[in-house]
Amino acid sequence: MTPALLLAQTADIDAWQAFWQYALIGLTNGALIALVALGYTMVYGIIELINFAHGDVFMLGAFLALTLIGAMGLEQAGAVQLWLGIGLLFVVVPLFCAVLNVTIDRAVYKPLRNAPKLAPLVSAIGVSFVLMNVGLLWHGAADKHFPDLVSRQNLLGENAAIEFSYKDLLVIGMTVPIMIALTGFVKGTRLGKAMRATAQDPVAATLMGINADRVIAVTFAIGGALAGAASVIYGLYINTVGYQMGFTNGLYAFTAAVLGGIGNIPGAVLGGLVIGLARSFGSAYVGERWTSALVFVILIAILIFRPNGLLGARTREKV
Amino acid sequence: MSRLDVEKLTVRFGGLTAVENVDASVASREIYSIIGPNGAGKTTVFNAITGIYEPTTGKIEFGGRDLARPFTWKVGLAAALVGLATGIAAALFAVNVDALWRATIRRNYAGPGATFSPSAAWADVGNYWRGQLALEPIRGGRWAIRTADARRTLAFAPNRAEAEKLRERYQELIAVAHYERKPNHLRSTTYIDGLVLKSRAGKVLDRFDTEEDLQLALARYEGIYRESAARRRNAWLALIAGIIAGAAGTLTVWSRARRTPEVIARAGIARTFQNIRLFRNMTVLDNVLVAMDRQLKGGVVRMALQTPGIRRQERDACSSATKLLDFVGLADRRHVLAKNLPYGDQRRLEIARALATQPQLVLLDEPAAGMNPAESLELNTLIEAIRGRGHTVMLIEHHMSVVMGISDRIAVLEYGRKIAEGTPEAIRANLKVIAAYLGSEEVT
Repeated sequence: MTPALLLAQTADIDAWQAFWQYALIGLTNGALIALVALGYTMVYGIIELINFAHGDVFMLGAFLALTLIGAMGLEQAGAVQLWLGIGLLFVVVPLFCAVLNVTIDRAVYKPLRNAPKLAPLVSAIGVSFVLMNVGLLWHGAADKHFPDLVSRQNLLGENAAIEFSYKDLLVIGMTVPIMIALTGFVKGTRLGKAMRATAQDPVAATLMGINADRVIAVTFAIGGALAGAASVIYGLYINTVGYQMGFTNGLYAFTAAVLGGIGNIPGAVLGGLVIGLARSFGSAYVGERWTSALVFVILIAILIFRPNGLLGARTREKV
Repeated sequence: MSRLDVEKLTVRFGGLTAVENVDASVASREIYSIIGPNGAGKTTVFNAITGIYEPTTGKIEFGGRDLARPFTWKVGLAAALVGLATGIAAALFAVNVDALWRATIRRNYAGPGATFSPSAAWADVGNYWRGQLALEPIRGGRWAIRTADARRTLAFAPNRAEAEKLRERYQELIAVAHYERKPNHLRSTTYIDGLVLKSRAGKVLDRFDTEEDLQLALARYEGIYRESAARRRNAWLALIAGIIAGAAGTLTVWSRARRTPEVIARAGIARTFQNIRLFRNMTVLDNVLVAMDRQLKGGVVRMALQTPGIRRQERDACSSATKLLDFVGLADRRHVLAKNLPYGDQRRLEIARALATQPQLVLLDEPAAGMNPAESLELNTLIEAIRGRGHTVMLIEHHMSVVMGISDRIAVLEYGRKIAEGTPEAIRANLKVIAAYLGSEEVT
């Protein structure tokens, strides 16, 4: 029996309340997926590379958070230290992931900038394997428990029909502002303009004095930082991390990016939310084991009717 | 004083010569046109000047200097770091990375009673480097005494304490063998007593039945010593060779990419394109603002925070961009997406975008292409006005009304070679030029 049905029967709540609960879970998970998807979509948007290593940068971020929590002894810390510690995690881990992502770009992708598109793509898969093995060496093969630092207490009251805990608040409260800020940054600042210009025509952009390499590096840094923030949120929300989490979550995030129209920032957010909702409703009303199939059925269905994704620009080949 | 000097420029693509031995010298505030039949290599000259193509041979100087990325300490540091990384990687391979891994990590992780700690692993790196014999737990609780790279097994022991003792003994045997097998060495009595090998302290290390056996054993131990010495020597060589190769390679790659379009654009050369290359999905204003990017200051953090300084800067940039758009006559369309502009306006937007980089030299690649006579007349006025603002203009054009009307000097290219240069009147009367355009039978 699926957990959702179990919940519906035991808690004696009506179907609509259950529906809203699933919607909430879906949106929370979707926001998390969207945060990772942004990294895929930004990098693709600017150099047309599917950075398969992105999911593994996310995984290493979670591992660093886990190590830091152990080193700072946050599990035993008082409330003030706890929140300071979590705040520190949200600074250090994104910074680490940003530096890691830029390093990967400099070391692996940059020398291949003028090579056929397939070369950096295959290299990205190689980097993904390397990072996965670093993770394996770091925290071992078994899944690890990520300390449950944020309270599960229901903010809507102890006996409320819908559960909205501090954890959900953390996810929504972190992801939504980050995504709004990012969209504003890309739309409003001159670096954002430089990014869009480089994405549209790198040669013309460099001829206008734009340092394309630096713009690309900043893109990787932002993507990495988002993955870092997402990894901390993921750890605090899901409470289980393992060296393969980069692959599975990366796959969903990549799907979200494609679904929304790869290269398109609002598209990645929309795609993430769609996939989050599909997984939540899928496991509630169809069955847990069908969720992955459902996600990809939706992906295929959408791509049949909108080959460039939900928000992707329609391009028609001129003949 | 000449603004741009092109000397003996040759560009080849494989066997194909696009431009051969072209000289051009453009004076400050001049309008210099390049004309010629299609495929004469005009755009290639522009591409070489703006750094899209590397000239095969020849020199391009702008205001008397070569436009190359300067060598800074960052480049030196990067070369040094890459060299160091290459050197370390080469040294790791030279000492046999698999054996090193086994000696430092796997041996500490696997086996009964093994405990891994970074300090133990680090100590084992030292042991491996010195070629110290290693102890490895094997099946049945027994221990093996092996060479550092675990390629040879010297003996087995029933327990750890026994193994430690045995290792001590073999270590001394190796030292003795190394001493006794030096070239031109007289057999010492300190270490060899008849058929017995002894330590300096006089402890018996090994006994032999014949002199032959003793010599064989010494040779074997000396072999172990030599192997580890050779490993150390190879590691040093690989480290040094790696550093040199890595740094030299980095510098070579860097020096090949010194004339990049971005550096040249920042030095003050801007251009437009024959087939318009606007940022199609950005507004007219944004297209111009992108080109002003390099004049604005402030890092990512200040941009994200939108500090007052940044905001003022962006407002100023906006107003000067609007002025530029006004200059080319597009100010009222500044919020339209570039791709939705009519063709002639797109050409003018490209010119505005080029001017926004504050260039000294503007290269216009067929700005009148696709324009009707009235529009191309307007273009003449615009190009004159650009010169009036203090820019030098280089022009590729097919419309003779434009070329003859405004050029100070004209160069004619045919099959990649310059066949004539001079004032419009001189070019008009040049027989070679007429031949190139109309075919030589007409003029004999």
